[in-house]
Amino acid sequence: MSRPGADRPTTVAVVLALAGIAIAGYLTWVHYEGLSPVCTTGGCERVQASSYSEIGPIPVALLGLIGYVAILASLAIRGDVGRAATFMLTLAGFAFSLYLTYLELFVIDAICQWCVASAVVMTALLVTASVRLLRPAAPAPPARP
Amino acid sequence: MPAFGSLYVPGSMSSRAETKKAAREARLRAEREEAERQRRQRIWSLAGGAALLAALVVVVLILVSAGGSSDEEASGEVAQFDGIPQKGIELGDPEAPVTLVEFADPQCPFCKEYTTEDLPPLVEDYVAGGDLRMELQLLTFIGPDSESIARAALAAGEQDLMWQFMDVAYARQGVENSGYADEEFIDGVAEAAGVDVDQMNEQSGTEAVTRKLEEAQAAATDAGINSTPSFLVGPTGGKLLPAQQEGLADAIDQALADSQ
Repeated sequence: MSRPGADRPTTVAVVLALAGIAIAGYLTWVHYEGLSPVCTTGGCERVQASSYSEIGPIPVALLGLIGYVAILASLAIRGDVGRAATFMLTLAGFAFSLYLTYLELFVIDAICQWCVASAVVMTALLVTASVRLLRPAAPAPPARP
Repeated sequence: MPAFGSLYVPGSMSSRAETKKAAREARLRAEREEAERQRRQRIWSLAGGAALLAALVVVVLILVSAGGSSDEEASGEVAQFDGIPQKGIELGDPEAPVTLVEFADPQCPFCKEYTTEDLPPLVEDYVAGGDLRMELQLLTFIGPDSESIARAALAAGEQDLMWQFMDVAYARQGVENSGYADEEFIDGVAEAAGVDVDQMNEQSGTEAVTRKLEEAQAAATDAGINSTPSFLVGPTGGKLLPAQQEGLADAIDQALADSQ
């Protein structure tokens, strides 16, 4: 995905998306295996057992995994439409992360380190995607004489 | 620096070329600026559209997520317990050769899933026939609503109707820690479960119920339980071992085979 000549924000976004896939992939695996996630904050179990850990039949962790994979795929789309798609996905991911963090702090009353890590990655992705979308176009290469 | 002669010879070849070049550069610059202006406009409209779409996706996700699974009319499968001996937290023949202990939090969604999907066949296949007795140990780690329901359930257990009570409570499980387990909810569950509501409310706050909650927590700690639902299976009166939810029937079959 990070092809030769890819610009720096794109490379950073690819690395962040891969980190997100690793986090969400781990939580999805733990969910389906019925295991307890490795947890240093003590709240993962409670968050995982919460009714908010699933939306209908879909675990939120799987939704996150799908989101990160979609972000990674959008990074391969060239041009402004691709950049706008990445921006849309990261903005949606960021807003949903905000909602989930609110739930953790004020409703479930427990913090899960993996969810916090995912929220941080998603925030960084939104910043990177915004930079990619809004920065001026690269100057055209000089014309051949 | 221009050639000295060119300053005095207007219309010379070199001056015309420079003027033409300057005009071309100015035109190109204007074109670039116009292109960049158009690109910016396009990007802002793309960003606006993307933001709208993102907002729509998130609103839908939040609505579906918070829609919750509360079903105020659900009554569970209370009929499955008809004709089966029940005492306090125990269900089934006390002399049954195998015991299954479930550790559950009333607000835990996976416990609800177990109660609605896995419990009925176990009751029908093993408990009704006298092969298995069950114990339901209620934990309250999720929050205050867990404790309200657990206290009422243990009080319903004084009327030997705890299993019916919890069946209905899970069927009507609300949004976690939303304060859904209020007096109206508890009384409604009790009525649907066939519990004497006044008697239950008199007993739910007693020291005896508090002691039972502490005993359940102590049993969970002793067994190293740190999530719900968790299960122990083994010979009645003997050593019980942890079992996975999806392998409960196999664990019960094994314990039955060992007991013969």
